[in-house]
Amino acid sequence: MAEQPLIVVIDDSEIILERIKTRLEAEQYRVVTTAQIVGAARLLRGANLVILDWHMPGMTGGDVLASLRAACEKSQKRPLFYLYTSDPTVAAAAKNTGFDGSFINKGDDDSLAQQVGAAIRIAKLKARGSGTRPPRSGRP
Amino acid sequence: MSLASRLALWIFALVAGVSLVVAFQLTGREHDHYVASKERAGRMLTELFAASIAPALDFADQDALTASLGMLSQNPEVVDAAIWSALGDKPLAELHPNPKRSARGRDPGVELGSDHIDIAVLAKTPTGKALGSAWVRVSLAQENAAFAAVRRRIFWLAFVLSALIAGLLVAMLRRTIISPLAALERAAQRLARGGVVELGELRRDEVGRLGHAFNHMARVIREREERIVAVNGRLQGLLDHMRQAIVVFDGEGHLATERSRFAHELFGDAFGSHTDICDLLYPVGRSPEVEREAFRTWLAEAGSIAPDGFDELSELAPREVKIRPENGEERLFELEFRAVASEDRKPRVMLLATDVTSQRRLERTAEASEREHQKQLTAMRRLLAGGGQVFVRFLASARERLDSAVRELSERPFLSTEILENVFRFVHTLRAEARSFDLGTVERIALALELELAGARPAPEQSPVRASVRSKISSGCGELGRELATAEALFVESSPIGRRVLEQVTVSREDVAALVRRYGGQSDELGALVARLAARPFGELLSALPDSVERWAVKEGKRVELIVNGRETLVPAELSERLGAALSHLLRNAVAHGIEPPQYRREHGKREAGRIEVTCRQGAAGVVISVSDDGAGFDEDALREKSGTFELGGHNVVELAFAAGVSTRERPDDMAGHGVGLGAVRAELGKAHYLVSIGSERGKGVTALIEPEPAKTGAIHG
Repeated sequence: MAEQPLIVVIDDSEIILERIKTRLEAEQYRVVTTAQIVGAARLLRGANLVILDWHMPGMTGGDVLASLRAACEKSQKRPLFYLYTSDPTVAAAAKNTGFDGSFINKGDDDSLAQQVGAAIRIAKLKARGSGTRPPRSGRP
Repeated sequence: MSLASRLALWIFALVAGVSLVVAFQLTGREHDHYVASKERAGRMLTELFAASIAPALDFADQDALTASLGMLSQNPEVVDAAIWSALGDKPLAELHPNPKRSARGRDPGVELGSDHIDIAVLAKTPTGKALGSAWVRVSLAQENAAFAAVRRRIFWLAFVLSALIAGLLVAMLRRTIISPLAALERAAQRLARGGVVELGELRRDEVGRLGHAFNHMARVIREREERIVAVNGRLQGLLDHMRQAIVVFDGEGHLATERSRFAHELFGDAFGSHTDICDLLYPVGRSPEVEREAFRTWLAEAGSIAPDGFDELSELAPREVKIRPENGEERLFELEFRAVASEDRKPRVMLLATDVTSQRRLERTAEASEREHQKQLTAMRRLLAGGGQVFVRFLASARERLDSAVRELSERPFLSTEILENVFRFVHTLRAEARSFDLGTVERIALALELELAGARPAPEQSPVRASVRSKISSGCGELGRELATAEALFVESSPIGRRVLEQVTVSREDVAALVRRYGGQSDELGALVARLAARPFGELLSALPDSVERWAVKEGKRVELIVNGRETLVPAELSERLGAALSHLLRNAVAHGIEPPQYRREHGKREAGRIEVTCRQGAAGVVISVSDDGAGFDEDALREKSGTFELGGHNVVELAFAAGVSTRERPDDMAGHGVGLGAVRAELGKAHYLVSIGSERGKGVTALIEPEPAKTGAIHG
């Protein structure tokens, strides 16, 4: 059976993490969550998508992204990094700060599920275009 | 340049060229003729002149020679003349002295110039002895002038003639070829624009045959278009009758004109402003950018993929999209993408968008209904297990804390950290409590509030973030209040004793029994209080019966709807001890004997599901309970036969049902047919001083009525 995409979610709120995990697991994704920046890089191995909060304690999502990217370059496959925010201004600037994209409407779990599906599809389509085999999965 | 102009030019050039060539040929000959005549005349003149000067030459008479030249010069055609002796190289006499005159001129002969003729003739004696020679130059000026005039006339004639011929030919060509071709061209253009064309007045020549061929072609095209329009109409009809929004777009996302009526209804004016499928499905600014990007990426791939790879690619297309039509509510569409044949081999994709809003809503409603059902069962179980009081306490406590939170929020002008933390604790606790009572909506609202509050923690107290959260918290508290009220209403609804459950307290039955034993017989206020305390809500007595009725109906292969009225009516203790068994018996009888099988009911114009209505009301003398069904009623003939009393009639016949050993059931089973039921019910209720009577109408149903004996006064006044 094909392996489902692995999604890592990093947010300082356990409540948000719990919600996201429940919703995305309902979409058959494998979901790993953490509220700790320290050691988060270890979770990225094999991940297809990383969802980051912008407002982290003591640092911005951009700082977290930079440290994760640095850690990730040593690994074989780099996941997609998406910013999750309810602030349209921050979302619009996400690509300029190094993110692959952004998920908006933070708090709307259905919308998040749709957007995550779209990001996973982008990854698969780009993998097709580059000639590498896309990660197989059922839903979405 | 038009064909007519080109033809005119060519014809004119051709005719003019030919005319000029012919004219030049003719004028050349004329010119030769003039020169030859002039040469003959000049020769004659020169010979006469030579003969006239012979004597003077013989005698070397210079004066005579000069005189002869003078006479010759009278002739206007003579432009020069000279005379040589046979022996000298220099002329003896000249008309116009010329030191460079050549001696070669004395040689006899004719020499032609462009504007003159030189003629030299020998002057001889009569014996033929050459004495010298005479040379005369005759002018050709007149001949040349005449020739030039003739040539000009011929040139103009040729020009005019050529123009006339060209004009005539062009007029003829215009009439026979150019005009019909122009008409054909106009007709072809009208045909191209979709017009109906038919060329008329066609001649029997090549152009006419071309016109006939064109008319035939136009007819064939028209017929083919009519067939295409008909086929398209049928296809469009099919599209329009599909409950799907269907649009077609090319590999670059440009929308084609093919679209279903539902697509028009859905997108409406958006079709006018959007020519791109991506903008249509994911309007800029209204859709998450990542979804637009995913679709754009997919679209780029779809635009270049071979048809046999499309199915695999379509797995990566979006499955669903939410669309908000102009001035309409958001709707959910299931998307299906299919590759369609294209005339120009460019990839084209058909999108079938199925509106699943109602379906999903129905599914959600069904799920919600199922959840509610489960909740009711849970509530029932909780209630039966004595948990009702806990839930009631939860509701009261939650309301109290909610009111306190709302008060705090309204009393302070800003969301202080203290209030924020208080509200957070309350919401957090409420979420956990709501979860333990399966109150999903309350839990979700509480969670949303928690998120908001958690997000507002780092913000300064009087910041806009806090102000925004304060407003959201107030709104959320309002929602919580409504949801708690809904939960309470649901709980009351699912409780067999209704609203009284909110006032219920746990009391030992033994204590109540002791009170009844000691004070129940008293007719004073204490006796009434004890009687009320011992009384039980009618719904509580029936709590197990709905499930039983359903089970019996399934066993009998029937469908039954049970309606209970007056669940909160208090039933006196004495009756309540016996009423459960009596009602159970009456209901079982109604299912087994009264309600007909669904097919029978359907054939006799009744609803497939039989209806049994149980009502408890407070009468003047005590509670009155009726159990009525809309079934077959008693079979009076069968009752008479079973009881062996054929002489009875009317109401008395139904009374036979209370007789021991009488049952209309052919074969006894665990449901009925033993003939001991109704009599036992009457006897049992009689012990509590209640009567049971039955009314029946064949084909309409049975009503059993339980009411106090006339002397009994057992009203419980709450």
